Amino acid sequence: MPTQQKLVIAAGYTVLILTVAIFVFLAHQSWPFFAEHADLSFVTGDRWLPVSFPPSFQIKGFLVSTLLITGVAVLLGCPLGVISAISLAELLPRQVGLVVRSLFEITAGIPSVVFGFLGLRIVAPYVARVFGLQTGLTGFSAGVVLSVMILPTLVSLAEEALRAVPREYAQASYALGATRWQTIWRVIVPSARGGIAAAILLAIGRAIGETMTVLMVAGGRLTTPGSIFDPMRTLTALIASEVKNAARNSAQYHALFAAGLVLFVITFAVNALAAAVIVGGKGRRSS
Amino acid sequence: MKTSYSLQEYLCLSLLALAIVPPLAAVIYIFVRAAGGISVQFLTTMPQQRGISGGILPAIMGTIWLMVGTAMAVLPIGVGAGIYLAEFAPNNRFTRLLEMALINLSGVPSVVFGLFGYALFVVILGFGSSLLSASLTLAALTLPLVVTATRQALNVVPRSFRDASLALGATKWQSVSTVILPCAKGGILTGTLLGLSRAAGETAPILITGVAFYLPSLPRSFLSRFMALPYHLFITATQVPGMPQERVWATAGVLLFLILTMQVGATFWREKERMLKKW
Repeated sequence: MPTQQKLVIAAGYTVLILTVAIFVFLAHQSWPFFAEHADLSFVTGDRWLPVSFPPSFQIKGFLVSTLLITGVAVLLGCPLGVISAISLAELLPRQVGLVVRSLFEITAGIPSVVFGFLGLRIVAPYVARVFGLQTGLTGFSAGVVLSVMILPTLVSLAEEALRAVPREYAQASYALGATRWQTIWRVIVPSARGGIAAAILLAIGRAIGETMTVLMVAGGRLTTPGSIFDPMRTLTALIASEVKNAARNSAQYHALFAAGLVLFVITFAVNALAAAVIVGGKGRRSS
Repeated sequence: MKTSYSLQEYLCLSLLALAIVPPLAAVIYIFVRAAGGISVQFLTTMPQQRGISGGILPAIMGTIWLMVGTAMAVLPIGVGAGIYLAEFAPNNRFTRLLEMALINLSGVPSVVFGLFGYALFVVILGFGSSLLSASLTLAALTLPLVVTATRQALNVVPRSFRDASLALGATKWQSVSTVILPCAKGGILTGTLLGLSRAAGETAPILITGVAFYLPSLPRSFLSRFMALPYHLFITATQVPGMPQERVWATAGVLLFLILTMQVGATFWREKERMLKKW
């Protein structure tokens, strides 16, 4: 086997090693924290007081915020995304579809800090006015911006799933006298539901992991939010805002890595589920 | 495809419009607002008074250097891994595990990559808060994109090409390196460029691994700290009182222009390659 081929194999293994390494480093850096707090109060408690004496590191508030904002993003974004995918895959003429698809690609390229800036200057003031709030920097505003940000992922993956449905299914449906809409809604969409589910899962994972937008738009209150219209801070925003000021190897530093580990485990679970749907689906089709 | 639509189909199409119009309008709005703040002086001088006056040259240069560093680190490993998955990986459990890892890796939140990069590159390997640490962190973040692009580019090369070169007596590696890889070159470069454009906009990972808001000089080496456009936008938008707004919009405009240029360039290139191909 030539050396180059060995290098290529090594590069392939790097992907796996990197994934494992991320977990190992997070676990390693948060170990001192879990060694001292070997109970569930880390995720069930509400008090994040890094500079009090004694300090307290509990992340329930951030977990709830992450959940609420992701919920808004998914509720607003998913129907829109899946229906856009249906339009692209089944309804639009080919040339128009090409243009619309490349427009989605462009929006996929807008960085999250730019979305955050737009949320800060445009969405938040608007939300404050419409709902009569003191500040528009709330979980809801962040959720609205996130719902736009997850669309490109959602649309392209859901469209791919719809296009993967064998053409014979649609032809059989037409042969039975079904209209195009009946065929789409009763035959093509149900046949693609595995791939659409995977697309939604990946979009949820993306929403959970989004950082700059929620840091800039969600407001940043540290306690557990009472409603979606409260200012709040997600797990990602917590890490991004505090890790730079935490002294290396301090209790706060290890607690932030612990929060990162929790975040990693959550997104890993969501993505693993999506991956199982995708890879599993591939296996079924080829057999 | 018939061009008359039913009521439900019109509803679908209008929801599609609802999905695509706001972000596009936002892009145009940013460029319009940015136009007032952009000048030659803004693009080519150092910032003064916490960015309130002067230019953003070091942030632009920092972002460009960051992309160069990221490309140097991610290209060999990402392309290598893509070649492995497309050409050499056996059809077994381990390969499926690798594929699962790849999907998961592309879903890891960017801030988690930041923590990882901080622990490994900044602390354990001792690169400190630097351009090097941030580049390597972004290389890890873009790795799944480059791997996937490489793999797809290789997968569309027709089987007959492989068969022909093997029939001429080439080894598997010779056939991959001299026949298949050159055919996939365009797709690989396009994918890499798209990955780098994503890296250019990332804020959270570099915030943890080495970016600075204000530095008196341009970075001297890969071990220096650096300024970058996304972080400059974040700080001037949220933490500098008395910041003239058109300067913040201008920074957003420059960042967006840089990224969209790379993306449109990459897409254009891909389409051109596709048209030139005879298979």
